[in-house]
Amino acid sequence: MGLLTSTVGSFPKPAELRRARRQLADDEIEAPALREVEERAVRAVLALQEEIGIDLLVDGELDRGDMTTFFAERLEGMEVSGLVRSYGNRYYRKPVIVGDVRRTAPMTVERWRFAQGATPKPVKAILTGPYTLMDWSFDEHYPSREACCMALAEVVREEANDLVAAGVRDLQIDEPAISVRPDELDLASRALGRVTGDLAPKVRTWTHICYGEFGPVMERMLELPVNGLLLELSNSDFDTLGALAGLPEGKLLGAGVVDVHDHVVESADAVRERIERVLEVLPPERVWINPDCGLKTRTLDEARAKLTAMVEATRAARTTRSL
Amino acid sequence: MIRAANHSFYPRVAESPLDQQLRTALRKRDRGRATDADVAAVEDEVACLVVAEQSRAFIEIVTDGMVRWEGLLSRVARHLDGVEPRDLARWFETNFYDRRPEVLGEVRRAAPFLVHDYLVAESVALTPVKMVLPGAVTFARLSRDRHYDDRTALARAVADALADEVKDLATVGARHFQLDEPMLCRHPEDLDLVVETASRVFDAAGDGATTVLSTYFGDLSRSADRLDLLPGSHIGLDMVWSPANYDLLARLPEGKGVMLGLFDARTTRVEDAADVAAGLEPYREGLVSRDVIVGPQASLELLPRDQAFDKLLHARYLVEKLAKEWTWAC
Repeated sequence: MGLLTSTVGSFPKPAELRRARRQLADDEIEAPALREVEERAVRAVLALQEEIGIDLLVDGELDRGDMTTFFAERLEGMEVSGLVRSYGNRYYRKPVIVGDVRRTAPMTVERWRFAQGATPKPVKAILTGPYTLMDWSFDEHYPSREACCMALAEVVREEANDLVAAGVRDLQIDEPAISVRPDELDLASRALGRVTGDLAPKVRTWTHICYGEFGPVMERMLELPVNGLLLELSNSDFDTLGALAGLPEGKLLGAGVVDVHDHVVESADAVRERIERVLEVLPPERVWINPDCGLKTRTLDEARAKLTAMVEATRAARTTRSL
Repeated sequence: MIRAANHSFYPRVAESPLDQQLRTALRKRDRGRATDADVAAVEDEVACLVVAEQSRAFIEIVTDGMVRWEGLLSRVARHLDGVEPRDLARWFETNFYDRRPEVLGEVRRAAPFLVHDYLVAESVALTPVKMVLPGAVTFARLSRDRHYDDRTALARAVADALADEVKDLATVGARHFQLDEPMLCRHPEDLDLVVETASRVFDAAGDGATTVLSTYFGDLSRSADRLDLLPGSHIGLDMVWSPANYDLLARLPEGKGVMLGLFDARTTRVEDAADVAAGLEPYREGLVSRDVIVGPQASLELLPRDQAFDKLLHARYLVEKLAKEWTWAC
């Protein structure tokens, strides 16, 4: 069967969870109380995806404030800086690398186990890739970007191996920064390969890449050592679609057909048109349908409406093809 | 003469609740709980705070902090007829994203959009306020052009719009202007178009204005033989990105001022003024006869507020050191 649906990872945090996170930061509650709220929120996000009809679920990354900071807070050798703006009115606490980076304990395994235990559908595990962890951190320690990136590859590899040992069958390694410096794509690929290289063959590996100048690097991006690429396409008006015809045989495309940086909810017909554009380039059995990126910047209502339109459009495209 | 200056943006948000008021106001507006007027009032207050903070580092030229700018391109795009800010696109090799302009019709400036910013900043500044604009060629290179289908024509139209803005700013008293043309480092073939469009904009500033053609995230080594053509009172060079720009210091046209981006805006590690001074020592002879401005290589909004301030402070330390230890001809 082709044209399966998934999402990129993050979901909007409900008010109750945002409040609890603030309360923990202000020492008004203890970690177990936050955890209780988080677990309720994860169950709700899973139920929402089941209700909409998503095929491969995520836990919504509700325990992560930011995709790099979350790991920085858990790795030895990394600290967290003050607020830095990333775009518009969005800010994050950028990690600072101050010593040799080491993983002292699994960072995401327990949370993935919880999510998978709460739904009969498969749940994808999501990590931030080594190149992005490096590029989105201030490095005050390593002598070179290569040394930094490969050190981070080791800790991400350890985490990936633990996730697979726990039963993960779809593993997404986010590398939104990978297109930033074309001259470093080989380094990024090598680091990603270090993570995916010794994973069991039955694990399907994905990487998610978004909001970059893909033109100069697209050909080499398609060769990244993963089974599938999850790409933002809608926001950039499908500029890179033509190049995706060169996706190596056997590799999958996760096509971003919903713009997550627009409050306007696309109609199912509009999403269907986008899906059909993708299917002009690749056959349905090699295409997964996703939003462009994580949904955390949308309201819960917007996220629900966008995903509903996405699933409705995907079902229509499947029906036309008797999938 | 040597002075310290901020490059362009300054972090609009920091840790305290007072320093988060703009973020909060924008979020409230997003949720329908604040009006444009509410946000504008907060923007003015934050602009005053960041101007005051720059002054606290004792630098000689501040900016308005560009606290109303979503990004270098999108703010201008929002105020030009024929252009809309659209999809998010990464700002060079940084972790910052701006909305890419989409050109849909004839580009014209609808109304002045920076005069208020300047007047607010100037009202609290202890030193001159520099107003920063994107260069027309960088704007054209990074836009999606669905109208002109001709980068030269688009750049010329953008330059005309920017010149209108600079003229209005000059009318209300602005005397320091900066055009950011980082794309020149990557596209030396654009030099003639940069010369033409930047000249047009700088001419609108009037005689005696300080006009900086700022380049960064690259070097101008491939334009080394043509530096004398570049317009403006100062050439801005990114000394952090590449050592190649150091070689250009001996080749700068006579009488040309230089704005040296010596402090890395992409790392929290703060450079020591003495180390930076030692790096400039071999070029002392070519610098002491010029008007030299020192500061960060690019936007300080790539850093948290505390580190941004530290970078300005160390730029000021550098000025104090070199003003004392070198003999300046002007």
